[in-house]
Amino acid sequence: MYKISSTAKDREIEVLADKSPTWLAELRRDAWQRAETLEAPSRKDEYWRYTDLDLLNPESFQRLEHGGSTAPLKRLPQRASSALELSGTGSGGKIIHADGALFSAGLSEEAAAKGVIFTDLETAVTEHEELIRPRLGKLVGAADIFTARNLALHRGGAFLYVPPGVELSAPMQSLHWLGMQGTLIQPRTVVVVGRGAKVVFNDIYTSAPLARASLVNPVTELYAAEDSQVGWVTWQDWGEGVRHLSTVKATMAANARLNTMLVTLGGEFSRTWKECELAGEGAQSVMLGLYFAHRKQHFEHWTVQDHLAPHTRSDLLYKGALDDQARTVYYGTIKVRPDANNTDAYQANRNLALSGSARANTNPQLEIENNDVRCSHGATVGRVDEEHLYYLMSRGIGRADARKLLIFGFFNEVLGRAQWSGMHELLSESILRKLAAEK
Amino acid sequence: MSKPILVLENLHAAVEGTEILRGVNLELPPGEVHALMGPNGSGKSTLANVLMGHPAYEVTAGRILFKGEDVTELEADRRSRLGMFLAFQYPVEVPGVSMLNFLRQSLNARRDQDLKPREFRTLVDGKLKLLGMDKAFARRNLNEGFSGGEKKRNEVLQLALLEPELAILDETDSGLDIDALRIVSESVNSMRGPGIGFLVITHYMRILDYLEPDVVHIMLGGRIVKSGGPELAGELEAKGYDSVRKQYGEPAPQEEATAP
Ligand SMILES: Nc1ncnc2c1ncn2[C@@H]1O[C@H](COP(=O)(O)OP(=O)(O)O)[C@@H](O)[C@H]1O
Ligand SMILES: [Mg+2]
Repeated sequence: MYKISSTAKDREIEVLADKSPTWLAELRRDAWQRAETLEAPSRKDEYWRYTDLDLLNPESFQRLEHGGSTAPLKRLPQRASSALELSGTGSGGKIIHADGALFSAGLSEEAAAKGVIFTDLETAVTEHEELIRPRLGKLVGAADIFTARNLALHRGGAFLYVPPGVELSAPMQSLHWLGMQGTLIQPRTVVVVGRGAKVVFNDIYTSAPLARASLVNPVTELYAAEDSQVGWVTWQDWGEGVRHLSTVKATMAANARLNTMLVTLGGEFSRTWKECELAGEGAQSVMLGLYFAHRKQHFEHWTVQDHLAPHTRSDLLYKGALDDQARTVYYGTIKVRPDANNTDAYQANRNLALSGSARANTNPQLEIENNDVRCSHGATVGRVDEEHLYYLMSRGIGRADARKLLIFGFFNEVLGRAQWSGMHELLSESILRKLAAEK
Repeated sequence: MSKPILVLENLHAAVEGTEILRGVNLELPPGEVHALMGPNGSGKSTLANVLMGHPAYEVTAGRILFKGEDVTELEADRRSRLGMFLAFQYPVEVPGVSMLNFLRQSLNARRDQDLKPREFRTLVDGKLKLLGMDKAFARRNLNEGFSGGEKKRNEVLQLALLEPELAILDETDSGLDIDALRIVSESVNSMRGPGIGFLVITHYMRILDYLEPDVVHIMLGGRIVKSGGPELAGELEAKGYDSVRKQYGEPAPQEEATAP
């Protein structure tokens, strides 16, 4: 499957390599070669056994030779601008891509004055080589055919650099809009947070509904230096017809704090691989996840909490609701390496099945190579509690409204721990829209 | 005499095929307080939940008339909007659902109008004060992490807010210390009036010192075996449930299974 290497495809890598600085051209060509030699994944592979790989065949989608839409956007659509409100605290900078091409870039005066760099990736690779070269492709390389293809052919994406000691109150926001049908978009984003710096980063994916599927294969690499504090929100609310296959990896140095929140709502297929490496002593991460799948949506969330250093702590909670014939998969691994003494690692995945034909699969894994750990993991798939429903109804609340209250209640455990005030409203809107959708 | 708030006619109910209520008859005129007493397991909470429309209980015979309307087949939310209220013996914890959100929705449902946020807050704060409860109470999640006493007071708070015409209190007194019991009783007493009837279920006598029931019913084996004036409660206190049991016997389930 996934036959490639037609001359047209070879030309694509050449076009991109030609436009890149030499170091990147080399990286691209190596990755391309690797992509060609790598075996295509199959359902026999543990990591792909839930996935309909036909949906992800890169050859079924068009590439945009020059990046950019045939009908360029004039104004940012409402759905995109409202997603930018998710932090509820303004914006420190925005990099917006439409159909894989840069649409607009802006940085607040405050952030610019503090030496923050926030640009599209193409600008960064020429203007900030010293910062990006040691990092691009180092966390997410060419391990499988999708990440290898992203490394070779990436186009679009953002670069954020927060210098040591700089604290930013408003979030730095990268948004990807998609209007084109039948295309393949492969952005790559690199975030570098300096020692003792503090920042919130939003990674937003949204679009109108598409009649013919497009595939988005984004990669994000995040570096949190010693004592840094990073908030990181990923908001995936694609319109119907989008397939999302994302790989993100963060590495944390000593005493870094990373708070992440991943929200998956849109698209017909969504698979995210999120890996957090606690590489320095005393690093602490919180990984929150929220998803709501309906109709025939298929969502997969793969997570890795990788403890490499002593005295590290990770706490993961993913909660999802699923309705109609939706299918969700959670597959999470806690790794505790031999050197990671005194580790705390927690992982929980809770699912709320709203219909009898929805299916949730949950799979917690432990790979523990050290005895000095406190570790817990739990996974549940439940239904709306009839006693809860009765209690609310006995106070006059109709069945449908009572159910809604309980669904929001289910999510509130996660939302209550996330400090992003605008998210509540955005999420309510989206969930209500889905509950009201025709079956 | 005005029309009764509640009439139960030969009410039979079963859970998972086991009959628990075996022919309950009762008439509760407006303005009255009726006490329902009986040993543990006699079916008091079952009756309360059957009245409120709990989906797990099936009414196998008889009917429930609320203000003359047959509500036997109605869902719980309809009954509530009509003016029935049950303060639960064991209120459930509903994680993540905020008290304010919940109270606002139930009030709006009961009144069939959307209260303005200001009006709503004033109303809630007023009732909280009346019940000697802290304002912070309303900022918590519905019964989540509440102590036993807090849960009971939360039931009374909802009772006070929703202003029903029939209030069923299922052992609201148990789990309350003496001060809380006094506050709760006082607020119940302040709600008394010609427009509301109370069915006060209790295992103990002490709440009846405050509430002064008009009628006392004694339930045994899923039936009301004896009704009388307040003196009946005193009698029970003196002699205990065993004497009632001896007098009326626990009807064996088989005997009753073939009833109407
Ligand atoms: N949901 C239920 N499922 C099974 N048995 C029940 C249920 N509810 C009540 N019962 C049974 O019915 C009987 C009466 O219980 P209950 O109404 O709680 O009594 P009381 O409130 O008077 O203590 C008990 O034997 C109890 O076990
Ligand atoms: Mg009881």
